[in-house]
Amino acid sequence: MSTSPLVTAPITSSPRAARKPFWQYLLSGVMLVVILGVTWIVAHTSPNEEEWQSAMPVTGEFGEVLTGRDIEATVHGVQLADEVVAYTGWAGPTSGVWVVVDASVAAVVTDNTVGIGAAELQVGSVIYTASDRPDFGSLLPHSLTTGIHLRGPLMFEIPRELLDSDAAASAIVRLGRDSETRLDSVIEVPVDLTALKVAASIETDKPVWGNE
Amino acid sequence: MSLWWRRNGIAIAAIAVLLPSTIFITFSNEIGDYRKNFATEAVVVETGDTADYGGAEWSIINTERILAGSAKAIESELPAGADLIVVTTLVTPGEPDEDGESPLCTVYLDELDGNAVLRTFSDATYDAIEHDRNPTAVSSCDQENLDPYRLESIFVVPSGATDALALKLEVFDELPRFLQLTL
Repeated sequence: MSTSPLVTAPITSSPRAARKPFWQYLLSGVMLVVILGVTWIVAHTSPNEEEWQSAMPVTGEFGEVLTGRDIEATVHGVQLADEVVAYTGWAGPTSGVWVVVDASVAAVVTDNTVGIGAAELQVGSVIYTASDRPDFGSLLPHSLTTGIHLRGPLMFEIPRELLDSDAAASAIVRLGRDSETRLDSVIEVPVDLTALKVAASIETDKPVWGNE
Repeated sequence: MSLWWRRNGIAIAAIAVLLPSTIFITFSNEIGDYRKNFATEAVVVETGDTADYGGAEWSIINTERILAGSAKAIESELPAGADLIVVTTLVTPGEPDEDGESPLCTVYLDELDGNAVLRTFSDATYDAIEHDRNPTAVSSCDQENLDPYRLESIFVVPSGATDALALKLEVFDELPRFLQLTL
């Protein structure tokens, strides 16, 4: 019985030639850390879903002229009352309480749209819109003019018990050019409703058009 | 070039061309349709010139600025700190449209800074002022008038507004083109 000799293939490449150099591993590691770092920055600085479309507040104090994209406003003061009597003769009894905001408002860029689109009072998470009951006794139905202010009252009707809440101490008067405030600037003035006394009745003046 | 690129190169190149092209065409169509409803293409008309637009000829024949505090301003009961700009435009209707009418228009006043519009003012015909209007002029485009007529537009502007003003005149069917008649 004959046996053939065992044939083995020659080893043509050395293990040293197949190994990546250390700097390539290091580079991959550095790149990974950089990508993770950039991802973290993007994730933590990008607007969230709510912020994508939220309004852009311009915040200030009483008496301060606040200017947004197409609205300029000054909140001169806030009063509380059981009843409001407008210059038109309209009298508004309420089971709650009236928050009467004295404000000046003008358009900034164009006045070819309606008047004040958004007039709100936010107390905590609840938003009250300005009452349309006083009709032309309020600023609400009046048109705005570019660059010329209209000063007058805005009336908000809120539950009386709200005045005893913590949220009433940090209420916000908010004015916007359009009823759709998303992605537009809004004027915001904080007000402490708990610091105000409730008058029995307030008479409000006719809105005045003109720059002082 | 590796075998993988030879196999997939054409497909990848097609995606690289077709995807941006599709996005561009879709957006440009949508934006084009949107812009058609707004006055975005100004046809600038220099002071004293006449423009043929929307089925009529338009030329400004008089401009007056009534300054705040003047006797006329007080008489017109202008709001404090405001001027009144009175613009008279000669409208010469061309051929009437299929309804037998001349063009309907909307006018605004633009305050300019070079080519840029700083502020826009609406016509103050229905504002709370007492301006004595020219009895031979109308306050808005008169569709039933096929003869030349005078259109008097009034604008209440803050006293700080500059004299770089232009009448912005729109005829709906002509949008997005509009006339910017320099005062």
